[in-house]
Amino acid sequence: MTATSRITRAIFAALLTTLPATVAAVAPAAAQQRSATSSQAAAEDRYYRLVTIPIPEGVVLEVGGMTTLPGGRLGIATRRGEVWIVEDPYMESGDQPHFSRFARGLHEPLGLAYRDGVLYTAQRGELTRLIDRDGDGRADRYETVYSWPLSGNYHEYSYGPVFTPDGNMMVTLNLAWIGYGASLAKWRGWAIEITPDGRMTPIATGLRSPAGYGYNLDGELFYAENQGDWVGSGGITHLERGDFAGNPAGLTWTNEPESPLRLRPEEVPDTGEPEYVVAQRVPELKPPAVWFPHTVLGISTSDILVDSMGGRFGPFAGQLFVGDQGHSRIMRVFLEKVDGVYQGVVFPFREGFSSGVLRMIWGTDASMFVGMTNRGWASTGRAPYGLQRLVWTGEIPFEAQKLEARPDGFEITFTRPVDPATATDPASYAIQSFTYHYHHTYGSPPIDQQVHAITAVEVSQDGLRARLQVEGLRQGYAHEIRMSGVRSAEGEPLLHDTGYYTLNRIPAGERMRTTSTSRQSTVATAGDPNEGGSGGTGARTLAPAAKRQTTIPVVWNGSVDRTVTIRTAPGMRFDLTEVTVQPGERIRLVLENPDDMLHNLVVVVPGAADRVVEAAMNLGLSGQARNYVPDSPDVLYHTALLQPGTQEAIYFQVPSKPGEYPYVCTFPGHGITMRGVLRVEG
Amino acid sequence: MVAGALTGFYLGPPAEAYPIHVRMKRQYALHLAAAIALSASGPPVLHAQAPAVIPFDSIVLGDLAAFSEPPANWKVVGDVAADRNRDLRITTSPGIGVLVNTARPGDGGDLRTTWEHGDIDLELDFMVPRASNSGIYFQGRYELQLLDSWGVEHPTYGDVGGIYERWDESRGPGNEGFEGQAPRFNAARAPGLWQTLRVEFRAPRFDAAGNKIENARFVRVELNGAVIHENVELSGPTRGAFLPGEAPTGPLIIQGDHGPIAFRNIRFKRYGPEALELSGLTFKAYDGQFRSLPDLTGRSPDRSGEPTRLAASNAGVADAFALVQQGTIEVPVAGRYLFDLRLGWIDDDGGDGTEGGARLRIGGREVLVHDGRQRSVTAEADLAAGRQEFVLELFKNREGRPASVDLFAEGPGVRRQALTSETRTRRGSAQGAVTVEPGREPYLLRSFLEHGGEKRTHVISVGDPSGVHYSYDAELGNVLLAWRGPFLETSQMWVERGEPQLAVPLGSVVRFALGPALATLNAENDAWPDSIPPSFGYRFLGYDLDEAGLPTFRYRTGDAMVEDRIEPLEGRRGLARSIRIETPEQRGGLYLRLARGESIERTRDGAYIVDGRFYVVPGGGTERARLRTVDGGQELIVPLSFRRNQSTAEYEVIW
Repeated sequence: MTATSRITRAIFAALLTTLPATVAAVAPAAAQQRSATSSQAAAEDRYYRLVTIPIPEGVVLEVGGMTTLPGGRLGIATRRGEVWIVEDPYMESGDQPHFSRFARGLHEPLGLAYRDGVLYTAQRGELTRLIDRDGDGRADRYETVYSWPLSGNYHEYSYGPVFTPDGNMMVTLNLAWIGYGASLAKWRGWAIEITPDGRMTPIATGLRSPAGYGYNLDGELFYAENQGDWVGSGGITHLERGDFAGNPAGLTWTNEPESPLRLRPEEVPDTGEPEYVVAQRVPELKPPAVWFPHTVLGISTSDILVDSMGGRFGPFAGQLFVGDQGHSRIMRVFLEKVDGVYQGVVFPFREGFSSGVLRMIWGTDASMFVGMTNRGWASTGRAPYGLQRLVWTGEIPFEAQKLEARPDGFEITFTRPVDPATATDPASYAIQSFTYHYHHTYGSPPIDQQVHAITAVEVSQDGLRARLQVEGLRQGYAHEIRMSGVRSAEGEPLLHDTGYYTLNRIPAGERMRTTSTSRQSTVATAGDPNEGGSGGTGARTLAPAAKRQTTIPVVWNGSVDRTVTIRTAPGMRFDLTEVTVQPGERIRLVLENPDDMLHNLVVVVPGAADRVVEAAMNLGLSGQARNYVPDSPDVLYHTALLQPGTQEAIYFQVPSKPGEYPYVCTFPGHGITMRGVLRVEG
Repeated sequence: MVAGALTGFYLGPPAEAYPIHVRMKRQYALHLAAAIALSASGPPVLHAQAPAVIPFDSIVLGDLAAFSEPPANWKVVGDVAADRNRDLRITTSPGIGVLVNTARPGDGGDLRTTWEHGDIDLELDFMVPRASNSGIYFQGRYELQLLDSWGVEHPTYGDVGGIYERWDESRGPGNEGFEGQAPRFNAARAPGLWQTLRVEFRAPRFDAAGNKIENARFVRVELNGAVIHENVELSGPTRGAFLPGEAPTGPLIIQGDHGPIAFRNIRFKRYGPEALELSGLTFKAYDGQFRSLPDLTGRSPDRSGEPTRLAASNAGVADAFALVQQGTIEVPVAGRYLFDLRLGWIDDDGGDGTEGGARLRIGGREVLVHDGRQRSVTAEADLAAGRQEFVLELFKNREGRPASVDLFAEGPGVRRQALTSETRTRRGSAQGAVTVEPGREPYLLRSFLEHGGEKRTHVISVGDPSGVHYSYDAELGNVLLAWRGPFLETSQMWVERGEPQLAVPLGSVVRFALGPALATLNAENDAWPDSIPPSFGYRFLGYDLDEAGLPTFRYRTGDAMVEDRIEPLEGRRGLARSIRIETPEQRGGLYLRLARGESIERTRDGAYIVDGRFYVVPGGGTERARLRTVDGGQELIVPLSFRRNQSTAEYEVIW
């Protein structure tokens, strides 16, 4: 055990004795509305409790930005352009917190920061300073710090600001969407830095949908990206001046004199090779520090918040928390720097939030405020907006506190001592690696999957660390590390037993010496990566042809009884929500996807929509390769997972039994709203 | 091209043809249209193709021939002017094109058309002098009120655009009047300005015995661009109707004894109660990948039958087929008809002609050929009255697009109708419209806003509790539009996620020319810029709110600091603007443009009327404003004079 971790542990022990009382004091029982939407959320709630902050009737608190203010107050900017001040959000008085409106009429502000008595927010078209000159608690000067051009495209969101360590402000500018991501006005797709007196410097580009970003404790900037064109999966990327983070649209502006890089869009190869491989040839290209496998750990990453609480929020000091809007959850990232390059591991942390997680900030008591909205993008938490607080109960969950790369494997540090028998058994672990295509297409399934044998495990004397010797680590790949067999000394499983480590560099250093105290694997663990439900290869085709018939069946003699065309619509909807057909009719169903996301259409047996949606969600890494269609008798017919701007026709015969057969998009996060009914008349 | 391929998904008619809740479903199309415009250059253009229609008839105001026995108080003149400050005052200048009644209240007679009408679409411009009163009686019986209602906060049925009461003595004293319908809000303009009225009127219907079976209806009334009535049913004639009882037709009558009034641009379309009717339909469907309209002589169809309706789905297959639909069409009136045929699978920006095509034949004559090179093709044809053979042939050779066909027709006395019955089955979820009103304090809202077909991106709309609102363009330092009535509709930006994300003014809007308010001109005859060139060093600085919540906009242009304050005038009359400029050193060549229009006229009291639509009244620092003629119109500009490096320019805009 290292000296640091020993100290940290001592702090936890001390906190254990004091914190539960504190928590009870700040969160009156009456106001503690727990959100436990699943057994996982219920398990997490024991350690990190969700407290819902009531929002007054009539306040549409679609949180776009959030900041703490002096006196324990919160400032919240909403997507409808209001800024609210929330007094006593901890409800220490036992009463409902008081909301007062500080400003209104802003253009979709998606960030809020406070400095020296002044609030700052990025509207769509400018960075604005909100000043209350006469002290009546309401802004009376809306001052433009810096204004940027817009083409007027709906997708030109602007996020921030976040104060830099130097006291300037970082703002990120989302790309437009015109069937693909495009930079139609200057510096869209960039992170720009603005001084308080309004001078702007473009910092880095390649950004697509940079809704959240923040600094780690070393003052390094990370931003969270969403799956999309040129982005195989979500993740977080370390951004430095002159970086190109992957989507070439923003490179349009690199011939401007202020641009810190000269790389041109046409110099970015569209070969589908992994981003890590392309980065060897294109030095400006910065692959993610950590990939978040799409739909396994989020579908739309949002804010990044570093644990600067020094242990007051639990055993993860210095790590990053990353929100996810579509999945209404928060992930946890441990980062390390190898050869000057950031890399690390992402774990699930807490799910069950009431709406789409967009913003996270620290409260004065080391609890985390979580601001939410799901407008336009459905979320697992179904409320349209919300404000919740995550409070550490003081109990330490059994978790992989960190996971570090070693020259020949990984070293896991646990939050509590492990049971040596299970922890030293290589069969308690499973590791496979994968990566993604880097190409103009929207998203990528995991590709080039490989299972790695765990050849030896060594557990430290104190039971807090396990060193894994792994065969054939692959630089540039994400590694799924499952620890499902590991038990704590008390016999508990890990609260979250799987992490995803992105191995940008394999570190040098001492290799593991297998000794008598380490257990060596006797059987090769290589096998079908699909076993265990989280595998899958890009090439595997699972759809039985009958369920996805894309050519007219020969026996139909070239005729169909009815063509039904269903189209996707912005806001996760089908344009048709009810289609009436006759039993036995031969149907040609065309799914058109003019939306800017991936969608499918799955016809299921009556009453099975929720089951199928959940099964699709659980497909894990293999989901995309399977079109997010679970192998289930509940599924009758389905289309492929369609790229934006594409369509597919499928042919099927209507069931002979009358009834209401739901159809649904089973892409994770979409199934809540994206539904319709195929009514088979009797 | 991806965007181009996507446009094909848009199948509906222009967005404006839909009520708001349906229109939102059409945003995607607008988004793509914008995307295509962008791929060229310049700002996004929001275009929606207007449907082809038969043009309106006009009352040619060369003389009074359109009116029967016109009383002497009605004249045709070249122009009129009404003094906005004096009751009932109207002056005329000789010429043609404007109809005027010069009689004072109590004098004069009414004007009736020589023709009668049943259903009618009527559009006209009118000008009411201060305190004057008139009215238009549809069929001589149902009055729409015209009045100087400028400044009225809560209009009644007796104000301009109001539907005047019915009257029944038997209801007893004090209760005789009923069913008066106030406009939704006061869309009136100031006396002496031209106002525009658009009315769709539906006549009462009668059975063969002459019994009324359906009431008359104002289907839609629009005053100065704002809808003020929809589907207001009229159980009987207005009090003081010129003609007794109710009937299928009657003349249009304009009241002439309540005060002076003027009209111009009177356009109308009259319709009978009849429609085109199809009967005896048969179809023959042929499978195959045709690349042009095939000759099917001698070929036996793969399917045939007698459908109840004209529809592409009669083909029975979706991707590749030819379809011949045949029957009898009953043409109610001989004359020129317009047909509009849309093949839903052809992209908005056109096909190569091999993906589809069609031919429409009526009475053995070809009336329309669709070459498949654009989605919609229109054609006009002279048709005889009576039953004739109707043949619609078409082919489709495109996978994955719905086989949808829309055929619209309009004719002499026949309102535009769809002959295809499957015209639209798609329905989206109707999201509720979200509107914003200022409440007790001004509401400033930043958004995208449409102006002149262009999406402006840095716009701050200011809603005032008094009901006078305007939109300010932060990229120009100028006012784009102003309106009275309700404030803004924000569903696109607050409910929907996709394009076009516009805030939409809800009242009756006055639009101003695009361009900066201030410009540095090297010579007084230099052209006024449309946008601000970088050389101006323009920088928007934001706005301050005063105690009442009213904003002062701040910007820099070069080394000049500008404070631009716009506030509602008392009595909801319009806006007062005051621009204060401070420079570190003396400078010249800085001009203010107060107005630009096609034609600007100076009035006797020193105000200017811009295109007949609003007044500009110069004030401090703008007294020396002068008119100049520029390409395509006139401008009112003034050089700014500085004292101690300061300049103040004030003027009012009244409408």
